[in-house]
Amino acid sequence: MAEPRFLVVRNDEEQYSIWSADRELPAGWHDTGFAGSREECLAHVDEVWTDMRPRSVREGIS
Amino acid sequence: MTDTLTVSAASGADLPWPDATLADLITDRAARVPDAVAVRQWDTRLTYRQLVERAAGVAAALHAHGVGRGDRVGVCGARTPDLVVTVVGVLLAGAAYVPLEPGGPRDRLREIARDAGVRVVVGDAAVAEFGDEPDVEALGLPGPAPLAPCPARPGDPAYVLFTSGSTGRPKGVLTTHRNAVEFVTGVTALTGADASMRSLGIASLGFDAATMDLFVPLTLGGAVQLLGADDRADPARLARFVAAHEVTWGFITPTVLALLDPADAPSWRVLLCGGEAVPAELVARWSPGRRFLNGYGPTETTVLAVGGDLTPADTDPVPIGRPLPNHRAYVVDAQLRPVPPGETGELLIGGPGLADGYLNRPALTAERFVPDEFGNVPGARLYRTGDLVRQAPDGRIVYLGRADRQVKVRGQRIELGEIEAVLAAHPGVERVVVEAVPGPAGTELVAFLTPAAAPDDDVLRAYAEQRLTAAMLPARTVRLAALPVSPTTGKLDRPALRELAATAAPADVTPDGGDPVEVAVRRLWTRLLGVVPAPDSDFLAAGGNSIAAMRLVAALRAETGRQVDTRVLFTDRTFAALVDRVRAADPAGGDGLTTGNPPTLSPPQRRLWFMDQLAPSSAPYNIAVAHRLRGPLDVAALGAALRVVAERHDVLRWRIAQQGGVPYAVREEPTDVAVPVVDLTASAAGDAELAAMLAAGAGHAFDLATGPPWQVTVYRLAAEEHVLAVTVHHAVFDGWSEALLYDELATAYDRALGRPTPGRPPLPATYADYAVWREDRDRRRGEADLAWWTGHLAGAPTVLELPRDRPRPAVQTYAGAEAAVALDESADRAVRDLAARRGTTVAAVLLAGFGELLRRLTGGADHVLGAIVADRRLAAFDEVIGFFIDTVPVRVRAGGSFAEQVDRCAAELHEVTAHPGAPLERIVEALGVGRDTSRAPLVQVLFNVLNFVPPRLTLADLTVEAVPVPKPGSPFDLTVYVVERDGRAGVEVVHNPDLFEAERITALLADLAALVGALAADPDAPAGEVAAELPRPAVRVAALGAMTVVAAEPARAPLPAGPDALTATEELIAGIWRDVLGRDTVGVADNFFDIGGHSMALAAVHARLTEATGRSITMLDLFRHPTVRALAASLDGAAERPELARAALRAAARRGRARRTPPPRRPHQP
Repeated sequence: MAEPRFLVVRNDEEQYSIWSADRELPAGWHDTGFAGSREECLAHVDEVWTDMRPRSVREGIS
Repeated sequence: MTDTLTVSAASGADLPWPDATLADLITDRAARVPDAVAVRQWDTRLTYRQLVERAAGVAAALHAHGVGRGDRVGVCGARTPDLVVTVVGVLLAGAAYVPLEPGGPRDRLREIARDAGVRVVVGDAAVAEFGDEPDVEALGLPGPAPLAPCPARPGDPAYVLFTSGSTGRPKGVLTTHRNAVEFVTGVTALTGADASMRSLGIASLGFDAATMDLFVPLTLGGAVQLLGADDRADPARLARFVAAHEVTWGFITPTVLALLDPADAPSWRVLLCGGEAVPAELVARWSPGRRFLNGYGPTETTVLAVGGDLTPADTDPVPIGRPLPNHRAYVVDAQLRPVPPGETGELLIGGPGLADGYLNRPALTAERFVPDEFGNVPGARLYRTGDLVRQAPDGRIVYLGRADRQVKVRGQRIELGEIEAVLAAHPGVERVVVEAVPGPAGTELVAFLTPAAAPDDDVLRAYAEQRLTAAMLPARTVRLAALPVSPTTGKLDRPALRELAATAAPADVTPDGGDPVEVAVRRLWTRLLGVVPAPDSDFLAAGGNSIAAMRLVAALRAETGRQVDTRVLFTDRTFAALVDRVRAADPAGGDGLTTGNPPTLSPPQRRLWFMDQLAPSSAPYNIAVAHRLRGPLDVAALGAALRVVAERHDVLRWRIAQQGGVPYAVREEPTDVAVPVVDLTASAAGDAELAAMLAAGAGHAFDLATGPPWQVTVYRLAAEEHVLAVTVHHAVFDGWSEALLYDELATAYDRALGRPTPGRPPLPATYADYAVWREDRDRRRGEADLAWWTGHLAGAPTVLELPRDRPRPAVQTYAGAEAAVALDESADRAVRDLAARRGTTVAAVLLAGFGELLRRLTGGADHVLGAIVADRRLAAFDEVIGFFIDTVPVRVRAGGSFAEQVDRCAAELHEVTAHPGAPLERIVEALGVGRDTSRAPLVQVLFNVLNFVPPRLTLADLTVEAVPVPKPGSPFDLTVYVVERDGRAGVEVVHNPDLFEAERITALLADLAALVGALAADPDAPAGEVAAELPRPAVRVAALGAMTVVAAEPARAPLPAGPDALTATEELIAGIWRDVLGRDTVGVADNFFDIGGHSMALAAVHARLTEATGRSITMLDLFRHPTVRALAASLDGAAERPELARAALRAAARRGRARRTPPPRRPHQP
């Protein structure tokens, strides 16, 4: 049985998460283009999510 | 979109919350209620003003060290009110606090500090714990500073809490101000909390329940009752703390709650329980008479996400409740798809409580915080709790257990993997598995180690203690050659391990041996720790911890009736030492006495302090004695002896300081007692000069806040003739203490001279122990005793006006003058005979005679006097110097024969001593006696029957003779002392010469003596007919115009009300206020929070106002502009009008002044 595939996703606050590749992405979340196993996706998040502050905080809006 | 009718989901109500930081809300609150108590721990109180000023000092110091918005600052301090100052200071600086608890495992603390990027650690233990850490600056607490605005925004982190992580590394949860403020708003709504709340400050700062303990009250104007470390660790002390601080609201874990008795916490009206599964039995025991709420929430969702009321109808497992306001809950399967209602699944939480994530852990954050496909907020996340739940038919959520390997031990969430990772890192350990199993003291951890020759417990403990918290240390270890493997899956066989853990547990057998105490201690130790102790078994090594200590001490008290302090278990840790301590312990005997208490003012001391503050220029509360010493006096030895007395009786070293009008005690270290020698040998008029000096010394005005409460002077009259004068403030002394002082002084003087006199054994209790015991006693008995007093005094007159010579001054004076009378021989004999025949005391006969005299003087048959009761009800206080005195009302009714009057007085004197739980001012309050500055309330005449045999001072090689010292003042119009002089009964009085001429008092005493003699000689005749000519007209008739009160200064006219007619906006707001607050009128300058407004009312105003104006108004606007006028101006765009700001400041200052002025109180002590 093939390992389930996940996407690395991101919302408008630039917070990352992972999402099952075969399910519809909830509103407000965007596919970053990276797909892989659960572990691969989490490892990717570790690399790309360098500033964990929500965007609104980073930009001084909130 | 998922159909919410067929899935397991629930949502909390919508509730707006202020868009502000915690620091904003606290400083706003402080500006409104600057003098309200923000934090209390026994006698230490911080007002809001002090809290903010001192926190601003912390913030300023942090700024000076380069800390700013978004930084993380370690907080390392003991559990004192200063800890709250430190936390608020870090928030004010715009930084997030990282709790680093002093005394914790050092390596773990430092690892957390490094992980969190902490450069600065602040708090009273910062230097001790981090002073030697390079790259970290450790700061103590600085002084106050002016408040500067908090640079943080609501979206910035407020704190970072580290929880156990599965990889062996703790993970830091980033919680923002917005998270915390929303939570505080929601839990305030859930529990109906308001400014009157006194919260239980019990959670450790590293547990997010501390958010509830601290910030709910501090944003509402309530008071945090912060438990110190000792009170937190001992169930008896905890119970006493809760009672003494009248906690009304608080969160507690079920394990600790189970150790308390609901009867001890009648004021605790809102009880939140959680952190682990709440047994239904606990709900049944605690819910009557109060709200009992379950609360559930991981740190990642900010304190509580789900909660609700529980009732005795709820059965195990009790529901954790419904989502808090603004929160959502979903029950899902492994693929995160909702399960049907009633089915078990993992709980997901959504809403504004969701933390930003884990500090520097992006992957872990992405794994646990997942996209929300159920809600209607685009881009929202849900937190995967890892908890298994199901939804009950009524919609409430029921907790069933952990989905992964997290367990809770004593309320702390622990990843078993973290412990395994730490133990596995020891070079002597190959494999390790930790399992949580039910143990006698709650969940306990068992570690299974390979190889069979793995290091022993002592080695492992020494290693693990540096890396794991106490709750994470395994209670037991089992060494195996290999770990069991499941034959079917090839995986570790955990059920087999758990079985092994059960069989490895010691059987519940207790070998006999030893006396009943040892048997009881062994049985309880075995039951709680699961191992039978040997004499040298160590409490900590046997798996003991603070909770086990609390339970052991409570069980020992219940089973052996002996009281030991939990600290014993952490100092003398062996079983044998514990048995010794229990044997040596005083029987608790239900007297509730605890020892080793820090300086604590007793309720009578606090009252006396207030009264002393009202009469600072005179010294009515001094006790002065003097003795003539003939023979060789060694002044140095006398000084040394006085020091010994003060060392033994620490109350003589207390200072009574105050903070915000609230007194508290501080103890000074023992020092040599200065004995000034005044040389009068060359004085021509030696005796006159001495008398004047003794009078001046007796009237010495003590500054209780800064100086000793006693002074000693030696007057040298000749080489071998001295007068030793001692003046002591009543707040630390009483008549009984005088004898103790003389006894101890005699012994200590002997020893100071080098005589082989044995020293004294340590005191069984201190005055502070009395203060704590007394507060507890008054609390238990207060209501019943007060009911007795109000019934007993119903209909009694509250004013006793004796005929006098001068108008009563508008403000009571405390001047004192003395007079005395002795009964003549026949009267004395008649009084003694009558007392013997009626089976009572001479004092009761004299009181009855005085009552008849009063009837003849005032024309009334019913009078209330005061009497003195010594509250030395426990043997342990017999040898304690201090103020153990209560004034109680005595109701004296004339009528019938004198014998009947004597019987009534005897019964009255007996009964008034039996209701000590309600002090005089509570009785005064309950009777509704109006406040009057011209006289003491209820009791204006004191009849003191405490007939001590005057104690005698003896000093080695000296002949000692008492010297009379004039009484320095009178707190009452008239004080009557029943005395015996030269074998005859008599009375001495102190009267206020501002009311009475000496001639009147002398005549009154003569007539009293004659009347008592006549009445006692004819006790069966109607008392009113005996010696009807007494008292003489000069006593009976007041001086012309004297029965008046000197006019007081006219009261100032009230400040004029606001001049303007209301604007339309003001009309609108005022109308809404009237509706919400249920008031007929509100003034434009009334502060919302002063006229019954609280946060829920504010929320109602907010909703109404938003609807009526159609404008976006934040709740914060309402907080910031708490008057109708200010709010209207703000809405009309004129908030910055300077005259409004000034008016608001003036109003605030008026409110502050009103609160700072203590309510008028009348002295009533002898």
